Amino acid sequence: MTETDPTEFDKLQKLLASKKKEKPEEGFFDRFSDRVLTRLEEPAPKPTLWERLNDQVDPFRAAAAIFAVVIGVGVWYGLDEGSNLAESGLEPLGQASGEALPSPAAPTVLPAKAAPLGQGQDTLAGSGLRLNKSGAEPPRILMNPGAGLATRPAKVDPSFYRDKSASNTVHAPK
Amino acid sequence: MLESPSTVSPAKGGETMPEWNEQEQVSRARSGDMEACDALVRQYQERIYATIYHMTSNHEDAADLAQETFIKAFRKIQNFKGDSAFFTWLYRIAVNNTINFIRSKRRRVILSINQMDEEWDSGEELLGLVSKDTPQRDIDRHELQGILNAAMQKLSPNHRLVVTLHDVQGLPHEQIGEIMDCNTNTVRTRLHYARKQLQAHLSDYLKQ
Repeated sequence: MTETDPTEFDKLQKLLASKKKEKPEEGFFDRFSDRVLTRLEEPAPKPTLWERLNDQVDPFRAAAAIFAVVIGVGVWYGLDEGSNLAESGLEPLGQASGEALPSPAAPTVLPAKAAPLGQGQDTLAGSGLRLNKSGAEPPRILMNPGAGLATRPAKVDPSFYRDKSASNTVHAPK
Repeated sequence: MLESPSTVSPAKGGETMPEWNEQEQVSRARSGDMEACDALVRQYQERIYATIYHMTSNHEDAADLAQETFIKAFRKIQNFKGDSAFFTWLYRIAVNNTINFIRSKRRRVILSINQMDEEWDSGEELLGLVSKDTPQRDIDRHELQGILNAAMQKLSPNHRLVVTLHDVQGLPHEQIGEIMDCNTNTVRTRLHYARKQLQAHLSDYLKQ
């Protein structure tokens, strides 16, 4: 914070203090109370829902309640998503074939063929995607790209092959 | 709790009251006694009006908001727990009402300035505060009032409020803190920045 000029500051204070002398027209305050009391005797307008809430609900408690509801909904949604994952058949890592992990309380009771992490039966390692073991072949285009397409001879200028001065060696077709 | 500065002062308007007892008036007003309401209005109307007027720089708005303040206070007087002076509680209602009003009509500020008290004849003294080296030296007292009020309107509502309560109305920092629901250091800091901004806005008129 920078220092203020004391003279300027003194002038400002005097100017502000002079505002105290600004008064409404004469008689304003004589009528003021009557106006207030007349309006007070009129029926009060029905408070809006917001006004009623403002009067009756502590804002801090309301904020805490809203926060708790948001957290609760988040947790509930998270749990719901988790159960959907389990039901969808996509097996989480290391839990292939629906076999439960061995309990740490009974480490000797291991399943006969415990699957290593991400290499459960019928899953691609690390991805959780199922392997295709149904025997059905994938479309041919995926097995042999370009198969079935007609070949067309390339139109090449024969003089290109005769030019031996080029640094790159080109073998002419036999 | 700060004691209301008016707990023992007589009522305004030259009427003599035996002794002003705020607590008694408040409890009577709470039970619906209109005479007590009238006494409370007369006791605080000038200060409440002045605070709102210096915040809005508009007489009509100040008159409406001051009325609303008292009506709201009497309709909610059952909620007044007595944790603070009635005066402070009333001020809080006035201040919150006014700040909400200012925020709602931020774009259209119309100055409607009251005349200086006729009894206060120190216009020359006031104009003596204006710089002698600037062309604005020719301004009159009313114009100077307008310039000052326009500068006030450039402050944020909180800065304007702290200047109004401290520099215009002369309330102590502690009481301003109670009204604004903040600590004394915050009041001092806001006051410092508000004055700096006012000085910057009025620099042409205040320099030597």
